Amino acid sequence: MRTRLAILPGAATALAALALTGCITAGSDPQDPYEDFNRQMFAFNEGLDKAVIEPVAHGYRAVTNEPVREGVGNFSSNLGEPLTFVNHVLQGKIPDAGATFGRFVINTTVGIAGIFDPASSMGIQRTKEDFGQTLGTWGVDSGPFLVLPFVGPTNPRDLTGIGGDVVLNPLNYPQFENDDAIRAGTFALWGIDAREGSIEAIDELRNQVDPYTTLRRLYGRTRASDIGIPYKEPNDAPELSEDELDF
Amino acid sequence: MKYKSALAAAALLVAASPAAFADKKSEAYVQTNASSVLSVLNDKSLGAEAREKKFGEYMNQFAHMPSIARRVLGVNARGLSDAEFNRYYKIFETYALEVYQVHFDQFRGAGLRVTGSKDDSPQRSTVESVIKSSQTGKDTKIYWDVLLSNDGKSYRVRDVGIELGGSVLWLAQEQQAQFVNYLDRNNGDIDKLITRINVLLADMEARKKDGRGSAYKG
Repeated sequence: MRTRLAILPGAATALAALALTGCITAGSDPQDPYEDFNRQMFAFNEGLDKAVIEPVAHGYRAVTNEPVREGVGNFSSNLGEPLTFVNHVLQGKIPDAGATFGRFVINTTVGIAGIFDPASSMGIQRTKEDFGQTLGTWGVDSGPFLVLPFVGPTNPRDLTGIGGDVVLNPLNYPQFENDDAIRAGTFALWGIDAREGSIEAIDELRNQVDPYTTLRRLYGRTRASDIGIPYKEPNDAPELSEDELDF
Repeated sequence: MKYKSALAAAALLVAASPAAFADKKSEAYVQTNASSVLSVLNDKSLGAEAREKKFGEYMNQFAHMPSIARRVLGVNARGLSDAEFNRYYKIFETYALEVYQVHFDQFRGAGLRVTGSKDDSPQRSTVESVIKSSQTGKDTKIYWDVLLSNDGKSYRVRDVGIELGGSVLWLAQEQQAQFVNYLDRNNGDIDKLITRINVLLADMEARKKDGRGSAYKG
């Protein structure tokens, strides 16, 4: 936890420094005031992904089969259940919190450290909550869309949520020998598994006319859906009149 | 007494309103044409090439593709010469039909049921329908943005909205956002957009050939 907590203030400081030095300046488009900065960061993340992360994800797919990947995915997801539980409680979703607690107990024991998912077979379906969603449920506005290096698409609410998740996750507190290394290892495993599962989707995203615009709209829509609030499509372009479109 | 007067006034207002556009005709229009389009995807007697051709024919009857092509350019469309628009339209039509086919393919084998409609303007209405997705097995809402021509004689669909996780993905609106932003960042150069669409079409063809298909559904 020390490592991850140490990174976050660093990221916040870097962000503040970028803003102060003028690297992030608000543009005229109210839909996306930091578009120029975001596009640069999007290009940076794309370069990093193509050079390092995507080849690792392909390599992981090549050396594993579907059951192994499913087990890794289950294991990673199970480690996220305590955080989901805390966020369910903060959102007042007590029955969901109970179900998540039950899932964690069943899958950690019967499911052998979460590698298997017997809870789903029992009808207790997985839900996923984070502190960004909790803030959204409390009525906190997302703020402008941002793309940050290494972080990817986000917004001030969800960025705060990442920090909140580090603090709120009960699994970040127990201290034992090599705890930082083990946490870093499980985080890396989660990242590789998640990237492997997104190979086709990211491939397809890259094959849009303007991938950045697609990402921005997709992120907004998905997060609104996760939170359970109505999504208002950004008005990216003035419309032609109906007369101009008559047939 | 006051209550009765209010009711009477409301009844008079309703009676005096102009005829709603979102009538049974627009709903019937969607029911018939959407069913025809989807039936092409289900027709096992057709080969891939024949299916694509027929799908394009039906879509061209159902939707007015030149209007959609113009709409997705936003106000950039106003500055195009006829020659530029025709050059763009030729490639746009192929691209849009490919995108529609990818999205509609998830409803292969299912029957569509129109469930209602509402007016958006004197000439526009949104028709709501339900269809079972073969991917999720769940009923999915499909919305049809229907435009009545200025002469009041014909209907055409100008956008299709697919319910996705609590929100609606409007296909033409998505294309419009991308196209307009792309043009904005390329000084409105339509030829750069045409080149970009050509690259994407080539990739779609390559995907079909090696059987990758499309994973992204919006």
